[in-house]
Amino acid sequence: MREQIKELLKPLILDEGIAFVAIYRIDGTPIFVDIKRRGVVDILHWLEEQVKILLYYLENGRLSEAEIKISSYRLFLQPLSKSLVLTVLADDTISIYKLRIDISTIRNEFLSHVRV
Amino acid sequence: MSEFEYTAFPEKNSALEDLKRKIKTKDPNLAIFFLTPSLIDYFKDFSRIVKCDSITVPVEGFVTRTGVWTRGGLVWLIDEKVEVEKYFGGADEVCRKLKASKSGKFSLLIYPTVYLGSRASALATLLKEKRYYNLYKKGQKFVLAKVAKLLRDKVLYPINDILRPFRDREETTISLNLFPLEFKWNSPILAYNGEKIGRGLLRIKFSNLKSLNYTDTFPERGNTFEENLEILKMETGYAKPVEFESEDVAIGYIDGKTLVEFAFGNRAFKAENFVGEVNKGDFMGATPQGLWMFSKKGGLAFLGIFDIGTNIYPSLYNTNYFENSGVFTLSEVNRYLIPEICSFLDDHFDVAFLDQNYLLIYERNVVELKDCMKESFGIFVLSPAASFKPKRNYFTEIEDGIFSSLTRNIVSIKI
Repeated sequence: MREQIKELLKPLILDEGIAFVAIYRIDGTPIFVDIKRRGVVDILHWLEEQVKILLYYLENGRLSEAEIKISSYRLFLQPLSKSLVLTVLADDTISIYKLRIDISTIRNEFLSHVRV
Repeated sequence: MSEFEYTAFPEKNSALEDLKRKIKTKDPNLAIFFLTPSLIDYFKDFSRIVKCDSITVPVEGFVTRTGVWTRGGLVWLIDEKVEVEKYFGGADEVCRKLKASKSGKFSLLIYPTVYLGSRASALATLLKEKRYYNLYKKGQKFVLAKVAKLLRDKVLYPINDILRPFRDREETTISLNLFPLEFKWNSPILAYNGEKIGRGLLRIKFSNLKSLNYTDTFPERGNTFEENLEILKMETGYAKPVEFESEDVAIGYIDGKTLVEFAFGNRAFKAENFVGEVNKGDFMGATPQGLWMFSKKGGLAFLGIFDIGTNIYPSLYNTNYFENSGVFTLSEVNRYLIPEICSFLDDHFDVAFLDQNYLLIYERNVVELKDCMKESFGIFVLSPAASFKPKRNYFTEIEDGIFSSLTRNIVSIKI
């Protein structure tokens, strides 16, 4: 399962401008994490509570997705299913509109493999 | 027979391995690699993974039946008989050589419409333009022809001039006019067999073409300026008629102002700012504002207005085939075209060329285009211009059988 998820997320994992890719369960438990830069761990630690709040809003449908800008990074939270959320941390070298498109494609591919 | 394979990996080695693993055709005649910005610098490595002639083309993304990728690359392996011809030099020289070339059943032309050479050559061109503009503003209109010559020699290939030799001998032709969304010096990078073409043109001559489908998604053009103005107002929401001075590929004053001042007013850049933006990689090759030029035949071409700091503005078309009245609009597309694109694309095509601006305009909604790709693929480039015998009065038909490049164009082919 982990290998399949990794394969699905490889277009993001292999991108130098993407520091962190993860899939969280909606209760905040990470089920897949790929961290490229150790420097972002601090940001992620700080973000943990914020992410939990966003996940809560995503779960109860008050948010359909979320994006946060933090210094030179941008965090994307995109639900993959009713219980899983894709989280991506990208630096400012990344074209945001292109990343949004690729995240949508990954979501579609995920849905085609998994019965939700 | 054609084979298409793709990789969504943005990292060179992984992308190369992925494509190598997927390619099944043993001895194709030609491989065309459509590479997104993260991979285009490695054109040499890609050309080495096939044992045939290869072309690498910079694109902004591609559509597969599962989605849209702006990372990685797509390879088109062609088994049919094809010939590749290279043309170099200024616009006049290339047009002359194309005119003398042998006809084929169908040609796919690939070239940088605008080629940004080195920083030094761009600065030299900008400096010359500044000198010419000083004469132009003193009323010496003949300098427009001098700027046009400068642009033809150093910077651009006018789309209608390039297509005219093909129209004259009734050869169906598509021209992919490379114009990257993110401008850099010495770009766009087009390569043949691992060698950079630079400022030049590649012609792929096919001995067969099963079908070409084209639409500009506009209603049929009207017979008068007023009718076409009404269509533009309906389609773009805002349309202001204007008069402009021009000669060949150089546009002078529009309603008494330079085109950049007219569009951007006091916010307009100076040339130095343009150079600075390209240096930083921040200059965006997309703009909603533009000038619709009415051709003498009655068709229309859209010229996007970029804040490039010049006073005499370069046109992608030879304006001697156009009237001096045009229309300024604030957007080229203002409605949701994706269902229209999907209903236009039937199941019988190999590849569709779609405008790269859809990525910006529709963002993640562009992923819906996957539904119209069964076994086929779509490629995001600047929308192609074309030459063929039309079945209706297309809005984009600027000369008999020559169609301008418009964001709303959709072109699909089956080889």
